[in-house]
Amino acid sequence: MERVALRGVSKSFRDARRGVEVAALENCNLAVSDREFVSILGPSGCGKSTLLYIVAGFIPAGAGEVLVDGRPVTGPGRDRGIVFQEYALFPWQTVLDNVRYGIREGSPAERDARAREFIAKVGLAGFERHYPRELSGGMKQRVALARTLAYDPDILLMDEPFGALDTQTRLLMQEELLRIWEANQKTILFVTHSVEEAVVLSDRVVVMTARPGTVKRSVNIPFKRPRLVETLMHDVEAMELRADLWQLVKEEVLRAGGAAGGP
Amino acid sequence: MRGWRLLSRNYSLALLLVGWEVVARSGLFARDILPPFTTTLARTADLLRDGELERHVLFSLARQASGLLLAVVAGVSLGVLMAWSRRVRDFFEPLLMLTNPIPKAALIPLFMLWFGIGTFSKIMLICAGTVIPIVISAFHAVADVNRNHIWSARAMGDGPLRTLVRVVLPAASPQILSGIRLGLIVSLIVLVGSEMLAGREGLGWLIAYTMETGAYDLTYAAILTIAIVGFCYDRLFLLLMGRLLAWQERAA
Repeated sequence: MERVALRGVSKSFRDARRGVEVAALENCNLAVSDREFVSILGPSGCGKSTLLYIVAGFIPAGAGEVLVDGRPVTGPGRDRGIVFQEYALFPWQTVLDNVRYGIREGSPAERDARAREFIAKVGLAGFERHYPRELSGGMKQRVALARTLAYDPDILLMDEPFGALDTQTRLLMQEELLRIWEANQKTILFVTHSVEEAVVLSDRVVVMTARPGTVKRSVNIPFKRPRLVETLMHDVEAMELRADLWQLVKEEVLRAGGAAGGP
Repeated sequence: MRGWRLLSRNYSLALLLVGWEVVARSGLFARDILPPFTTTLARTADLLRDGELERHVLFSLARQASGLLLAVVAGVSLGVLMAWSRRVRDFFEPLLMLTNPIPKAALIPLFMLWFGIGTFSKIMLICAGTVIPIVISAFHAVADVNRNHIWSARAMGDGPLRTLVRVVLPAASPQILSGIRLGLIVSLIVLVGSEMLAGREGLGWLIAYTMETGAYDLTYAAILTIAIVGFCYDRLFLLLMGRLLAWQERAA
């Protein structure tokens, strides 16, 4: 069954400074199956985050149809959890309060217990009373992940969630996400500009064109699960897939650079 | 040891008081024009003893607090609306820009004309004098709230009102509190000014009355009291801000 479906979705923004309409997305078509892990890969500025925000219901599509579980999206909803790249945690709340924020079911004590359970799941037991400013970038993203997982949305929308982390932390977080996803089997739409990340994590990688963004190619990633990040680093088939995907992305990066008249 | 630190960090203040005492006692000026610091302290204590000073301080603070509270409610509401709606913003922004530079003391006669010379008039004046910095800081603070914070709350099922109360206002609170602190200082200025011109009670009235009747030592006592009240007020507010904003990198 299709959890998420986009049919002919377009979106343009008004550039107030130049006084023109800029097309961000044009005729995007995409279908995500139940419990599928789909990465959206593309050069920066191709509109992949815009696509994700439209599915999340934060911004309306300009044209076309956006369906979640067969129903048109009219706004944000608790069936779709979001994890941003940065600045998602509420800095005035402790780790515990942040993770507890989205939990609505149960008595206060039950909510508390559930929040603690998910803080422990992302390896941060003992940090419940800390404020976000006291945590490293990787720890903040763990908390952000825990907060979204804690209220159990069926669909996870992830907007370059590891994009601001250093390489080592990033690899660890990818492993962590794989472990959690393999245990929970949620449907994930994952935006990234990293070919490596897309190959390691996804069932399917959707490559987008440069602006205005549209789906260029959908590539299946055949590796069986559970996966190990290190194993795939040296796997020959994975290397070939990465090379192919990089070719697809590179054309678009060059096209975007040419269109903008600069590097 | 602690006393010594306190003195060494505030020695300019100590110097001023000692200087005041010495100059007053030197006979350079007539005693009633410049009474010594110790005499002023003693007169302040006298006023306190018969409850007179207390009454004026309470009157003044009640007016100031009512006016400021009104300004906070009105100012934060308007700031939020301006950040929320382009049309509200376009309507109020020129008005605020035009009225902001007016020295608020200049409004005192107008408010006496409109609202009389009683307490209500003074409360309105304090509200008018402090509301603009609060509106401006609330507007900027709310407009600057990180989009991801708002979207996170919305994704977790918060409606607009709940998002406003639980996310937007807490996120904006550091700047809003700074705006209120600015308003607090302005409110004291406007308060004393308006009391000096009209009324029968309050610290401002005490200054004006004792000047008129030539009881200058009491004038000094009143001014000293205002300085102390203002200082304590600001300190208390900073303490409150530090408490509320403990989550920040560096609390104000």
